[in-house]
Amino acid sequence: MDKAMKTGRYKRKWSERSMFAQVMKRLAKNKAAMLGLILLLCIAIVAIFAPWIAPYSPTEMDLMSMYAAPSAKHWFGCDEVGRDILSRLIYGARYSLSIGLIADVVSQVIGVLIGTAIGYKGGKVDMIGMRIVDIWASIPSTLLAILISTTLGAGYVNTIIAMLISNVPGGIRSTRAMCLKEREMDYLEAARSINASKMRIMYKHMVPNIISPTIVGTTMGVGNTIISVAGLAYIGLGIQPPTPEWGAMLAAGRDFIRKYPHMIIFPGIAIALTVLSLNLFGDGLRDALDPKMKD
Amino acid sequence: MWKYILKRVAWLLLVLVGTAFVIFTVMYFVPGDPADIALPASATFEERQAFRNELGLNDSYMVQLGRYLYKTFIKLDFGTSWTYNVPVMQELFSRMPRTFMLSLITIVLGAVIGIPLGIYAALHQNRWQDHTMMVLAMVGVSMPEFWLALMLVILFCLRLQWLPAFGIGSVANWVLPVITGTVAGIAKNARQMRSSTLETVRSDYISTARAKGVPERSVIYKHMLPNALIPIINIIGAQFGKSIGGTVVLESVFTFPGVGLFLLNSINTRDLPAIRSSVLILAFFTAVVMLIVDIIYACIDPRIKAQYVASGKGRRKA
Amino acid sequence: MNEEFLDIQDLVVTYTSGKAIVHAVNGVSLQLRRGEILGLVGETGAGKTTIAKSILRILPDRSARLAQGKIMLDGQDLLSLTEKEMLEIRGNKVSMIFQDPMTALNPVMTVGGQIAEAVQLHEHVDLNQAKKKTCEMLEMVGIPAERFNEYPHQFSGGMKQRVVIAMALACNPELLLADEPTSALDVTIQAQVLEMINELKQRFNMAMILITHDLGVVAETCQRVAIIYAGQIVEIGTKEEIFRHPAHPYTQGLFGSLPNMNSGAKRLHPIVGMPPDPTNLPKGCPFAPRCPHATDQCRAAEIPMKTLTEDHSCRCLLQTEG
Repeated sequence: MDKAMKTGRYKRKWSERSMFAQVMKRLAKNKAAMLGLILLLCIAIVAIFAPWIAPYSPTEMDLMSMYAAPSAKHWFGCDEVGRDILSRLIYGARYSLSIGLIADVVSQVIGVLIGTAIGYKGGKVDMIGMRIVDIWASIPSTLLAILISTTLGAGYVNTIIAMLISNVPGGIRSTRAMCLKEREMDYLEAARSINASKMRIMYKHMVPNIISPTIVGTTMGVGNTIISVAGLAYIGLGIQPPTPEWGAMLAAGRDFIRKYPHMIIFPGIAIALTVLSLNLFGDGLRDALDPKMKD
Repeated sequence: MWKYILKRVAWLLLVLVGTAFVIFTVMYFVPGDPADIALPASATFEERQAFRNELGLNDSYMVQLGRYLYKTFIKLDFGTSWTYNVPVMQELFSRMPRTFMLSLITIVLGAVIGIPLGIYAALHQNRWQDHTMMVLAMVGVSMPEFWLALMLVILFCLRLQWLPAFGIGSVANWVLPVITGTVAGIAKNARQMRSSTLETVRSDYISTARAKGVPERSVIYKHMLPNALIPIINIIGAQFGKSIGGTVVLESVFTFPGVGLFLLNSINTRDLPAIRSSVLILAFFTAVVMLIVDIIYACIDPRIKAQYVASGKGRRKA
Repeated sequence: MNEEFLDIQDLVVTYTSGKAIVHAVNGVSLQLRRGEILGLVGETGAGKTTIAKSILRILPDRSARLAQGKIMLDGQDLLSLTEKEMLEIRGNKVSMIFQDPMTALNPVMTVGGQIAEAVQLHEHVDLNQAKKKTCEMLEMVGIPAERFNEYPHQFSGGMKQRVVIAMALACNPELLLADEPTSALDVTIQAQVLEMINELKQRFNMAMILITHDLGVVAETCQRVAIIYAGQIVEIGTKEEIFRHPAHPYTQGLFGSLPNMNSGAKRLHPIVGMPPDPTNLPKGCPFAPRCPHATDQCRAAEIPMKTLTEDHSCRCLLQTEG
């Protein structure tokens, strides 16, 4: 008996590892996803090693090259006070990636924790919880972020908080919906039948089963958050110029759209490329986790 | 069914009160003295004090909240804008139709163009039509809307000079905001519709339909389409909320005089009554659209309908 | 043997999945007379459903390829018919019952509407007549006609399967392909549904292919049995022959893994190992890797079908032609 149990455990581990390996294998075969991943890694490396990669300082003004058009010296040109746009974009990747990542991952984690609790408990807890979320989510998320940034004022941390507060209800909703579906499944009945504790059932049995859609959601969510943060900065909330945040650069460049469009073309391309790579990777991840959607 | 709708409308009103509460609370903490905002710098201390007393700004939070909710929901008085000195309601009434129309046109066009494209892509899965469309859709969902707007302004207004870059008045003013807003909608709907259709194609009931000799066209239009559309309807409802948020930024790009631009201007001047009311009215319209979508959803999907239409029969399931 | 109603010769079907080619059906030949029930028995993934779908030509046209073979129905070559002619066959002359009643019905159409659709398509009648016929069909399978306007989610699994059966029988088909019609149902309901199928089959004198992995179901309903393994028929014959003298080691294995009340044996004998990977079938006998009697000869080349008695043949080197 003992031996059988051991082999049973061994087998389970083996199959888990092989499932992970299978997902990775499918992912590696997906050219679009790999392209997204490589792009993403490049952007991340550029962000991390910005001081070594950027050709100029992001804040150094050079009055000789004010409004300089793209050239061999300044690939993406210079802005209204002669700062090198490429260097600013490279430093800006730090803001966009980190805000997107932190705000989205944290809000997904909160969403999963609360959503599972609500969805699993059901009944009154579910009803009251969902009513609160309904109210919370009834203000379109962009508007909520605008309101909160107005109150909190500009800045890095405040932008993250604004994004968090406006993202969480979505996370709770989708987690709860998944939990409601999972609650009907037999494996939870099985877990209850061996007298597993509620906490254990919730976080040990249910969470792993809703985790893959959540990971996909997070990947895509980071992209959306990056766009929202840029939007906030563009309308003058969130991160302010002269910080080299991409949205703030767009806001600053808007006044010169007539004569010097390069000041707004390149920051936008940077945002679009980052979000594109996240979306490509997220799509690939979804297909890899859910292979029946393919062919 | 009527009972369901009535219940939902009652709930909607409750949510609105909650929304107003959230808006009020968040804005209560806005830094800065309203008297500084509303009154000219030359105002004396007594004038400022009188202003505060008139608005009840010296009262406690609870009293102010109560007064705000009472005024907004019972007397339907949205207050007076501190910067423009006109009733906010009047300003919103002239602007709301524009914002609402813009969002509506965007959503409808996004659905009308995006959904057929998604079906087409799904039916040509893994061929070049599908690949091209999905690459384009991917790019479409990855671009920030306001940046696309700026690019279109550079191209059509500044370079080609075909269209005016801002303002309102002629149809030409609507072209760019509508195009910009629609691109993302088309891309999203096409992607969703494609995966929804692909999921439906694999369903057993499609095999059943084929096996009973239903011609391919009917299989697609009668069996596949209604099922594939169900999740999309839900998504379009959710899109409206997003689109309202996006409209705020778009209106700023095109200086399109809707509620969004009013909101942004009010934020710049910290004009609290104007901010509160414009967010509330945008939230209200979003909620109404979501409600309509939910009702349509319930009408189309008999499974959802059965949950709400309490008629015993619907619950007969063993 | 001219009275064959259905005659499948050397059917080969492959699926492409990415770059891999799945060999789902590898040279299946079988014959069926009018009014006869043939049980098609095999494990999941052995190619049973693919054979049925090939007859109706409703394989997914993107990924599946009917590479080779001939399917004659009542003297008509089904594979050479145009799509339009095929529409007249589907649901009319040949109809099919799918495995999972839970998903086989369109969730947004009323059950009555779904049955009436088949009637209208094939009997060219107006809506009222189609409705009348539908109600008759519903009553026949034991569902009150008032439930015409209800949706599938309002029915239980067994009731749904009855609806599916009513739909399949609505146009009096001459051949019914039943793909595990009972495996998704409770045992008690299984018996009811089987009995009903049997009764209806008697009444309409249909021929039927009953796909199953349940030998008990076969014993109750079929006259002939084909055992299928890895896309090949490994043994085919009358039910009596196969149940009394199973010749192929796989068939013997199947019986060995059934509990038998009469024998004193305490243990079941499962077949060891797994079915072969259909993208990479072994050379020679596909069962050889799991077969206790396999020799090098078995693995060398494809095993021909041998006739053992008048209506019993088998693909195994162990057996000698009788």
